[in-house]
Amino acid sequence: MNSNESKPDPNRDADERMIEAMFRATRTTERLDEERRIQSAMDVIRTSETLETSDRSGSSATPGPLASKRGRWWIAALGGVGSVAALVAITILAQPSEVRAERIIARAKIAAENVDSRRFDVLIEAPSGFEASDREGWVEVRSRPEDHPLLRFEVQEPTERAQAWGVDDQGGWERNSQGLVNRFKRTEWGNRTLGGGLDLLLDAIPAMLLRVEKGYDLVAATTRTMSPTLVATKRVGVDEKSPDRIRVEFDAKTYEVSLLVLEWDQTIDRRREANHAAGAEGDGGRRSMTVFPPVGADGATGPPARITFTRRATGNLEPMDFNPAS
Amino acid sequence: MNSDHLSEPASGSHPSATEVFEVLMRQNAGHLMAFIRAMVRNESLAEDVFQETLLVAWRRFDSFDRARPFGPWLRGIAHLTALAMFRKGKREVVVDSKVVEALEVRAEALERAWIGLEHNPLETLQACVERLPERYRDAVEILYRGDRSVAEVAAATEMGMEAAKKRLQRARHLLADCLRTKGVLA
Repeated sequence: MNSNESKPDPNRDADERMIEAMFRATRTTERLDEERRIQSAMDVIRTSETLETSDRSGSSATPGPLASKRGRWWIAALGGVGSVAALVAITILAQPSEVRAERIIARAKIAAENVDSRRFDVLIEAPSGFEASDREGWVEVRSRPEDHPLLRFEVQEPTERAQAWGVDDQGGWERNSQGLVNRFKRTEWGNRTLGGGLDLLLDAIPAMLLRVEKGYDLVAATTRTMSPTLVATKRVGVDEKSPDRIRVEFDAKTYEVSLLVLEWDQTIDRRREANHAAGAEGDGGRRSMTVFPPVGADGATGPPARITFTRRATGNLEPMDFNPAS
Repeated sequence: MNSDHLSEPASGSHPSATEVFEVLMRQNAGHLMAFIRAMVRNESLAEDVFQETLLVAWRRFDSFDRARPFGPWLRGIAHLTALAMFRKGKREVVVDSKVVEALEVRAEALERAWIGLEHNPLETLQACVERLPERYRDAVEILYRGDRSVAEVAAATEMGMEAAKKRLQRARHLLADCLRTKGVLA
């Protein structure tokens, strides 16, 4: 008899071990245990850091500050904006709660670099005064190293007005409620979908800082609640179609984006603007540089009241699932 | 000016290395612990390996290439740490290198799911448990949720030890298949 026959299959063995380990992680005390583990390690690290620093008379023996090596392809795609470095400095120095803002920014930037796929439930709230139902759907974005991201944005409710937008390997596309697909240049994706907020989903912090340069004030940065939150408010005179307020909430543990809210003020002028858009583009057909998913009952493309993105489990989409045919 | 240059923040706004390390560690703690547990199959030893892994990782952090993913780097350290601890006589068990390779493949999938799903792999596991045929589900619930031994599973389900072991083994295979279809297991 071959002795190998009695050896368990490594793959099966690994399956069993991993499942056992996952069951261990489902215990009710696991979250507390994990925090204890992390705190314990960090206590030792901080203590050793302090000791080593004092031993070497100010010359730190610990690893120095680290800068990201991963490219921000979309900064170039948006036309180049100068150094993010300067933006960080301006933003932080302008804030009363600079320490907290800096911590949020630093942690969220690191966290974002390690996540490639994100999926959000999307709720588009119709402008006030419109007899239109809210629209619901989801968006999944996938970053790719050295390449543009893939995107699929499906508006599913109400079903009679289901629409989709996406970016696949060939470029951008939109599919209207009749199923007709219209292609557009990939470089237009930032404006054609999601109120121009797609980059906020992909990489929230640099995207927020870009907006600061373009005319937003970072008016709140707080960790008083469980969710670290940044709020950017638009200055007067900046692009009318841009949201008036942007709120990004981060997971308190991982610092990944958990919630993004884009809000447009519901002034009379703004409603008139949306009405005008409804009259001009109510046929739901070809549109020029559509900034918003239609929100009005007749296909108005003016600003909605609010778009809310809530982080969800990723959908395990295959690359081919990002094209309009799938 | 390339995008890499654009992404470089000013030195005054750099996060400290400790802060960078803590964020990465928190992001990777869940699947790292799962990998270690699967490797050593002993809870107190797993705690020791986890702590030692993080300390070694911190000491080597300046050599970590941030263009590469953090999870596999951490697991590589965890594997070496576990082997070193075994050699020091903490345990006599040495995990088969082929099993560790297979675990690494599974840990990669778990890492992707864990980060992408925000801890939902565990909810996926629960969903898979609920889909098990009742006799398998009961055995699994008693063993893992009830934190009992295989002997206790055998007694509770009125089976012999060998039959209970077989049933649990079969249940884990069904769970593995289910998790694989959902992308949580490779």
